[in-house]
Amino acid sequence: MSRMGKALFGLWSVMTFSLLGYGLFVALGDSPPDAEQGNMIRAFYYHFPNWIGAGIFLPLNLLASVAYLALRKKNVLAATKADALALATAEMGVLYCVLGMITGSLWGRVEWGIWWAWDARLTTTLMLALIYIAYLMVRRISSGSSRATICAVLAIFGFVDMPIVYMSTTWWRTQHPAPVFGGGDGSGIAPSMMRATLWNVTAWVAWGVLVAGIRYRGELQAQLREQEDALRVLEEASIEEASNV
Amino acid sequence: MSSPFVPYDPSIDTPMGYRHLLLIYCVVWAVQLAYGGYAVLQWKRSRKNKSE
Repeated sequence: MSRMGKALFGLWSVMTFSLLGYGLFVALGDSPPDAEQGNMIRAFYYHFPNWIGAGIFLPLNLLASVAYLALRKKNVLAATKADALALATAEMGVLYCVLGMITGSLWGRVEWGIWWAWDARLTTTLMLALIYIAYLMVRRISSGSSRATICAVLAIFGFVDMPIVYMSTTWWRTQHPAPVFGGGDGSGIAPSMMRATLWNVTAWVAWGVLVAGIRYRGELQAQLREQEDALRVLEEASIEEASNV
Repeated sequence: MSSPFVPYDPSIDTPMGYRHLLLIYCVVWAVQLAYGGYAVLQWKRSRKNKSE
């Protein structure tokens, strides 16, 4: 990593941890309890950022997968970078998705009296998580040059569920509330909750960028190393073949 | 029952609500930090392999 890269990484890390610390303070200490939910409303500040995170990183996975398919025969290095980015964003997206479901379930048990409801929003969300978990499993158990291509195609098909998840509360009657943004009448965030929500969304997205960036660098280096090793083996084999002739 | 970090008011909250709120914050931090640690470990491992 260059000196500039190291400085940026350090600055981003400090900024992220400061944001997370301040977000935690605002969520637990500096925002009022709700008239209906009491202090349980504070669960929202650690539930909602997960879905913003999934809403950022899973589309990024789609873009990286499309980029990989477009570049794989034209520019091997750029395609490798796109594939490494696809892995990093998929892992981050799955993490946010799973945390969103866990935090939602813990909140639902208190407010709805149930851990889970097989309604359209929750079921399509579970399917989304399972699709991307399957994507990560395919990446782990397969190897060779076809791995990235298979995964990129799987990511494109998997992403189809994402708009269905978002629209599920509009298309079907669900237990889950309407989307916070663009959910029609009555959607949106109460002014008293806005500050805590925005700080925590910013903080957890910054965290996601930081961790996905680290994961991307690690995966890229590992893949470049794999390619170098494969080239070396090919070179050695061709030299051996030439000496035999 | 009440922790100094997570607010609890018996007049508006239930003990279960308090427990679950505490769990939500702990689970998010624990899982995110664990994955962050995994990402750093993978990065360091790939750097080590590169320098070999």
